[in-house]
Amino acid sequence: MTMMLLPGERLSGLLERLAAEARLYGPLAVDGTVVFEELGCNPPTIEPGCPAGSLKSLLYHQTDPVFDFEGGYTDIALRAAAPPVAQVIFGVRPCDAVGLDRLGRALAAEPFADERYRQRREMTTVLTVACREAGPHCFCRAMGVSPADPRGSDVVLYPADGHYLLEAVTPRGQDVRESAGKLLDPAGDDAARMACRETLVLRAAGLARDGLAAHLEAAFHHPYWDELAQRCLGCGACTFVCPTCYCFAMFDIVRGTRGRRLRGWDSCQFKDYSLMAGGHNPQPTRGSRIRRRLLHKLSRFPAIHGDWACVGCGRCGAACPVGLHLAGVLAELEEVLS
Amino acid sequence: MTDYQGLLRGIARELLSSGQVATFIGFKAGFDPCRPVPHFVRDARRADTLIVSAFCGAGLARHVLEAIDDGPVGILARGCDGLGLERLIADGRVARERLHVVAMACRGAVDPDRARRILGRVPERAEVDDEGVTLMAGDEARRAPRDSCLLERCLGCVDPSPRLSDTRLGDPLTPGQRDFGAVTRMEALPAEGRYAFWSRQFRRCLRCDACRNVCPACSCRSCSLDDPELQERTTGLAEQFGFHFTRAYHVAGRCVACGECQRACPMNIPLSLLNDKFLKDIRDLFGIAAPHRPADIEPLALYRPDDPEGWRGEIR
Amino acid sequence: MPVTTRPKLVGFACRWCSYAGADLAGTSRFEYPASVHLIRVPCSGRVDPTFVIRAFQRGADGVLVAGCHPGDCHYASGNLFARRRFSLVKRFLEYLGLEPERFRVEWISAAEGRRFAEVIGEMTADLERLGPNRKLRESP
Repeated sequence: MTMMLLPGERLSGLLERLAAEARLYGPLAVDGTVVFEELGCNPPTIEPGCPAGSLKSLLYHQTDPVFDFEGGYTDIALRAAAPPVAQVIFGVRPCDAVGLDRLGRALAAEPFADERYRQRREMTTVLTVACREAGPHCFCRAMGVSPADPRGSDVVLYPADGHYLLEAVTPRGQDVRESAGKLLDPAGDDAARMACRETLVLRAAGLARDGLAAHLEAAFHHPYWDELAQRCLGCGACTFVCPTCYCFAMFDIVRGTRGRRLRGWDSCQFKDYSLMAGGHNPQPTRGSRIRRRLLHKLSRFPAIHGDWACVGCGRCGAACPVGLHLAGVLAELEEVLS
Repeated sequence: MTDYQGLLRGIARELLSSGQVATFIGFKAGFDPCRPVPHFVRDARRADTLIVSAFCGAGLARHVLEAIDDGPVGILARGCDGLGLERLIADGRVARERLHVVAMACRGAVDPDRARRILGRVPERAEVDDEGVTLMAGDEARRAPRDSCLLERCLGCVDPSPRLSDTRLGDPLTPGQRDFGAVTRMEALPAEGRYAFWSRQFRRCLRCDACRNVCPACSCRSCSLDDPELQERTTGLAEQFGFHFTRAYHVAGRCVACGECQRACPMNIPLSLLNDKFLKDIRDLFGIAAPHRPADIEPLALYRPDDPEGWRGEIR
Repeated sequence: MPVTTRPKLVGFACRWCSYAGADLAGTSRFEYPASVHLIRVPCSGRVDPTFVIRAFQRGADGVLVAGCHPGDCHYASGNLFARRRFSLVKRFLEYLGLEPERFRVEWISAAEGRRFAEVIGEMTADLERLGPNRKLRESP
């Protein structure tokens, strides 16, 4: 793909053009906390690392109506929820974009596709800003993701001094490039892209290795999980900020003879999540729930979908009230097993 | 500076090897240099994995519940932990005689995110004193004012040393007074401004329950926030307001103002500003100063015949 | 056909005093607006603040908690606990941005039919002036 050059001062012009065609979202500091929000006229907040709020909230909503219903026991009328509208997300980090790719394997693949997710994904254009500098929690390289990774993105912008190098990755990305028109100049070289590829991500470089899954499965009965569970508070912060966690629950809100069925985020870290009718719980302890999450991400998910369900964004480490970072847990496990 | 770390390791070693406690709870180095993690030591030979640093920000009181069934617990406690422990004792979750409290004088813990912004890189070490904070990484060192880089909850700290104590680390520091300045400023806004502020905060709530799970006053075995009949699972603004009302109200009168909820919140919702409103009103209306000592009777579980009617007049 | 009235006022009335006060207002033929949906509770001390929140969430424009005058509680102290509780709740709801007129606590005895009619009249006028409540209200 040919590279184009976007001078820094024309970024707002590009954003205006994007906002004219679809709803424009991006990372925005709200009282100091960066979350994905509708940008409006605000410039996006681009800081090293990824925003505190997760990107999935724009595609896989915290609670999402599926259909409305009305009527009695014998005669129920259903009305599908309003279809998603086109959206453009600017300022996504490569890890989050790759996260969408992973999320899609679980949610948008046959035979059990989540129609709402798939529709919304198809209506979404992703403009990624590659990383020149790693954030304090980043460990993408350890999970096989690069700071210049184009997977999951439609357009990747590589930042350089005073300009961006713009690469359209998909046909939808080319549409963006074409609509940008004269805002873009021909690019002389692709030094910016090369620089992003070289971005230093120091953390846990040795984690991504063959046999990680087998290594974790072998540790299934290790007492380490229960030790870890004492520190863990059993909240769902790690799962809700995670770009690849997709546990959900269905529930109905009923008001008289009318109601709505919704799909909402749930967390495998909650004790009620795996509770069955009759009282049996296959994940009865906090330790078993942490183990299940980690094994799902690094062993079961790859076995089914081919890649880790972790992109190394490090949000878990940032969000955890007691400082449990996924890479840290792996490093610690390595230590206790050796 | 006194070597609290060395002293603590010695105390923990002695408590564990003499069998006085089955578990000692403190901190150990985390994956992230500025985020030490809660640590459970059961073997005296492992006592030297305990650390004390200016980055020890997480509360420890709540973790007692994870260890108390295995035998007596020794615990490193700052003022905030001490308040949390008093709460757990008053709630009947932990017996005082099953605890050995190592009470440490604490001048505040550094907020890793604030410190990183000031230093421009991840800090490796920090020292906190009464005048300010020294942040260090490599051979770089920078002085910063306390209110620019301590945890929010440490800035309003009134209990730098726990009242509860079996062994002391450092002389007790002078307790402070709560001024509720932030609550007063919020009250001064017009109603629309207050509503807009809280809407903005609650909108980003993930409903991860970290605020509840970390709270020493939220140790009920079964919680109304888990009951879909009592707390709707949808996350519209109305339900988020309902959730935050319920969380704050359910600890009103029992909140020890340790600020753990706010520290734990991954979305940085200023939860202490909710708790503090209840604490302030309890003080103003019922004359019970905050933080309420858990050992005393709970403000909402008693009444006086001549209590004022708090709904009369302005909200102040 | 359900008749929709605006504003919608939800009243929690203690079974011993305020509900009897409402009855007296009726038997005395005092006029008051049809805006109030009265819910009989054993005691103002029975009213969980969650009831108030839930009423607002489900579309109430205003909520009234009414009980016996302090000292007159059928259960001796229920309304005294309620007084502390709703002193805090009232201030807290305003702190979150709710208009003060939307939530009221009143002591209305079984002999105060006139007072009941007055309170409902005052609140209804206030709520009409404020318009429908959107805060704390679930989206349709």
